[in-house]
Amino acid sequence: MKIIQFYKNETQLIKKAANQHRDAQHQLYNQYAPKMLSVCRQYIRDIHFAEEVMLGGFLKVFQNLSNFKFEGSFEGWIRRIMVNESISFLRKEKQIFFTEEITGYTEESWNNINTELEVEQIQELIDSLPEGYRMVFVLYAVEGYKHSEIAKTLGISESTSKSQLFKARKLLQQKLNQQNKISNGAIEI
Amino acid sequence: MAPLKFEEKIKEKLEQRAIEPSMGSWEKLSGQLDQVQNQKKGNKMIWWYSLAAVFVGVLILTSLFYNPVSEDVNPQFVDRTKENTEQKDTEIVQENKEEPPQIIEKENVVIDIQKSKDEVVDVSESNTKLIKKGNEGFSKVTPDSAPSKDIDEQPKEVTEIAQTNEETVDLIEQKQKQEISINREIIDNKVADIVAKVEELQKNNTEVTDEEINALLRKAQRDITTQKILKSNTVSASALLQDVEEEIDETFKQRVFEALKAGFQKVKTAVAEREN
Repeated sequence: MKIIQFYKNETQLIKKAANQHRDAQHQLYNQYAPKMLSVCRQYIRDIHFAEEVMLGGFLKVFQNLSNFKFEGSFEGWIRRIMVNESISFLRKEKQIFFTEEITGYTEESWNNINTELEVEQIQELIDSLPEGYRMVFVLYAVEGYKHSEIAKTLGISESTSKSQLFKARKLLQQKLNQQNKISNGAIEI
Repeated sequence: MAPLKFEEKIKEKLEQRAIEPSMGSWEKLSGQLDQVQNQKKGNKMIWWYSLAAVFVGVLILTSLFYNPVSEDVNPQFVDRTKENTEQKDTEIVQENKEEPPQIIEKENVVIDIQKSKDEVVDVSESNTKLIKKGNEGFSKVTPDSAPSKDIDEQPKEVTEIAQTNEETVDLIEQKQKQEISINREIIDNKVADIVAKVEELQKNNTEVTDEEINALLRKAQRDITTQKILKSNTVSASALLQDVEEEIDETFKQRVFEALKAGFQKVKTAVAEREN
């Protein structure tokens, strides 16, 4: 009953916000802004820029709210807008290079790596990746995009998307190995 | 551990994460929203104004083409003035045309002159009739042709103006009657003189040439006109009055036109507002 009521309330809230009711918009903002800032932060290293991008995304959300047909989840719709906003921000800010080399890859190398990481550690790892790798990795691993969708979104070929993901994974593996070695060494000391 | 499992863990943790935005972020966003909304409103207003202007323009054009009231109003004024001027011109031409037969016939000179005298009277009468007609036309037209909601106000002005016009017409009639009586006296005297001269010429000379008679008649006409001017001050006064009347008529016309236009436009805007 509570879930149904929540959805009813949310649809009413969305309709009100679409009619430019400021209070409804404020409520939606309070509800989704923290999650959306987290989404933007995955792509943009600087939190201030990430917030700017998020505000721009919400501006678009409230301007185009009448186009939302209540067919999918509202959060997913906002999330997609935020991802697109983040990518276009990165494109404006700097040139992104995508390399297409694919070298040998072995799954066994992940076996001895400790993947129990905190969110901050994960974010640090993602931030350490080059721009092109990071975008493809986040889109694939976190947002669940397929390579065809990534290629379309970033304007690259599917093979480039695959190579970027491969390199991102390899780099992450190396960094996790280094972290493990450091932590093991620290424990031993 | 496979990379997919590692990625799943990353996904879970990142999806659960929430970063609180800075304190003034909502105010910033609402400011941006207000700005965008104002711009949209401005654009919408421009569109609405342009649409309304086009609608009003189309209404005016259609009403001008299809409204019988506007068709009735304009030609009445134009036609009256034209009639006045044309009739005056034609009568003057007729007078000039009728002069030659008076001169050619020797024996019927007196009769012709008397006829011309009567014609002068007729002309003056016809002028008075025309003036009457013109003013009646204005007084008749204006109350019928005021279709606006100012019907209560406008006829008062119109009737007042019509009354003043009637008064001026009466004055002109009186003065014209005086003129006619003076003219009659002058013409009678002149006719008597000419008849006497013709008789003298017939007595003295057995043959009276056409040239002599023509000369006498021309002289008589000149004398009549000069005496008219000298004796009656009403000639200049009536002319002045006619001029003034023409001016009054013009302003009267303009007033009526303006009143009609204003009323008409009010009705149109009221209809447009109702429809909007």
